Amino acid sequence: MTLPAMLPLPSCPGLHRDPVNPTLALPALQTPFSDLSVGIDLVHIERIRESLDAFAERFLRRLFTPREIAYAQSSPAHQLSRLAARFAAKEAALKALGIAHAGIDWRDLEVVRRADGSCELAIRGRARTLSEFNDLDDVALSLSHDGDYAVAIVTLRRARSYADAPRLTHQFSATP
Amino acid sequence: MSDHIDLDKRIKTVLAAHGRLGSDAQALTAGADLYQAGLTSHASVNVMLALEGEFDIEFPDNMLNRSVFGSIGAIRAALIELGVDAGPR
Repeated sequence: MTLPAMLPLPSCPGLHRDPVNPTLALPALQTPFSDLSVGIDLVHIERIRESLDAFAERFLRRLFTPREIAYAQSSPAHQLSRLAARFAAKEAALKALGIAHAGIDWRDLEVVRRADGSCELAIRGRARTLSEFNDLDDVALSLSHDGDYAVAIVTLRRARSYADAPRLTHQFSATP
Repeated sequence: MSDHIDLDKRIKTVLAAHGRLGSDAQALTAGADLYQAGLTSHASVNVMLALEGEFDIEFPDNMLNRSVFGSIGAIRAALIELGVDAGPR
């Protein structure tokens, strides 16, 4: 089925006429109802060394889960870049989830390695509760590091289709 | 003249040591935007850990957000909420 084009309602800023049922109003597509969200973060790896020098275990324990710490420390040569990439992943996730201002435990955002070496993002606790994305069925994470920097990108796609988006109860008497 | 002179001075000392700001921390006003002054998310973590050591407190999860570390005044308010002595006004 081809849906009709979204028709803005000039008298109701932020609303469109529902293309499925034109007698209903539908919120314009904005962040909470978007299908896709993305976050990116870049970390200077040397800054991680400075944090470890200054705060040692306290820095590790506040930001990383035991699994993340164990993986990073399993290779001393890669410890800093692994920690930097994981910190970048947490910051990227905060951006993608739209909860950078909420206040969460960084350990509720965990980079988990799969058996094949690829990584996924586990989102738990308050980070998940506060997120606009309650249906976290499609979260993608990519990490990279080269030289002095590590970078992470997180994308989130909601399963909720446009036709399933919440409808307002307001009824319009006139058709478009 | 700033309120809570001693407290602000200690906060500025922490910012100067760990904030990696692009400007002189001692010259910042209480309301100055620290992120505009160059505070990064990573540096804000270092500032948070340094404040915990300086004042012997621990920030709860709900305070680990950008707004708490957005200005000297915001940091001061958070510290007072956590029981830090506000000092002379």
